[in-house]
Amino acid sequence: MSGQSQRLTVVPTVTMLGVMKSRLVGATRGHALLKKKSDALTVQFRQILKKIVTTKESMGEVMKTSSFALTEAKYVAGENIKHIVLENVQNASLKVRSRQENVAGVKLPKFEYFTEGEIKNDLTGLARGGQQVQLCRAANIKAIELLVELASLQTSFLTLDEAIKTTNRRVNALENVVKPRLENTINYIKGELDELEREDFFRLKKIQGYKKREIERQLAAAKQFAEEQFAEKVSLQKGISLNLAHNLLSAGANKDEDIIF
Amino acid sequence: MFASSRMANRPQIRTSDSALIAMIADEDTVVGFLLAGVGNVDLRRKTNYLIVDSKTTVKQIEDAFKEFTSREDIAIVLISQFVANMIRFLVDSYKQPIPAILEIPSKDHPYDPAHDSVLSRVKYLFSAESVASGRR
Repeated sequence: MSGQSQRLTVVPTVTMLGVMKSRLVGATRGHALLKKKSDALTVQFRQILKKIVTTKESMGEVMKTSSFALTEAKYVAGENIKHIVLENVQNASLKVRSRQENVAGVKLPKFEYFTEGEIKNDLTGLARGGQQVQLCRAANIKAIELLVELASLQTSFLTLDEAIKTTNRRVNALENVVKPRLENTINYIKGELDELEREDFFRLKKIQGYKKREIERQLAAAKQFAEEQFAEKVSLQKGISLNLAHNLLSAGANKDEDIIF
Repeated sequence: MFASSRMANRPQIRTSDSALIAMIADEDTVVGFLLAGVGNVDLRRKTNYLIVDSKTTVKQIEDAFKEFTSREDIAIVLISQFVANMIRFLVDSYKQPIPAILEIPSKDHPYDPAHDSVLSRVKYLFSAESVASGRR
């Protein structure tokens, strides 16, 4: 997969940072909860599996008993029992009811069998073997009971399997995709904010530097000016003007022969 | 962001108050269960069982399986293991929780857990010498 744990595209502001942080908290909590749910479901799963294995093994026994009883009945009542039974089928007297049970947050179907209507007893009017037929019927009813329970276990098993797979998928998605992405986004936003702050800081420093140099220059210029003023004042007190003295010197060198320098 | 499709793909589990048990098995097994009272023939002469003998074609078994699993009033389908082996691909690809498919042994074919479609799906959970680990 390309781009393992990219980050989300967001505007790097302080508000978004807050939003991302709260999302990360939500994802972490959700991850922990889902992990617990997955563990609970797995425990249930293994229990049901154990029960299924034992029930299937006893089912083999029960079926053997019932087929044995049927053979006995056939032996006693003659081979025609098959046809009589086949012809006498009308409405089922043994039916199942399906309900939903909530186990660890998952809806599991459960079957229970019940008898509806009266069991047709006209078969026992057979010329021979009425008792054998009754025995056979009882054995088969027991077999059906066990089979209904087994079917119930099997459906819960399959539904749980699906539920566990979905939950695990979500756990892995949160752990490997959502959380890293959020963390990367948070780091990116923090980085951007820091960089903006640094830029600001740098700009401030630069401006301060300019201002300082400006001030120094002005200070230097002012000092120079002040010194010249002072020197002028002093020379005026002594009777000569510095400026004039300068002019005298430079102008005199040209005109007056008395001044020899 | 990650809460979007939580309830979207959940298949509905049918709850009903009276549902039938269907059977696809050999003659003796079916007769035994019919004796117990599981058989049902409705107004259109549709039965909830299919007797499989040497003359039944695979197509017939497939059709019966598909019909039983799509009927709304059938909650459990009992199928003999040797019949299930004939339509193994259909049975293995069937994934709905209801109706439940249950493989039962028959008189000449004792129960073989290695071929049970449900148990073989989780044989990785078993240790080497226990049930359903026989299929190599």
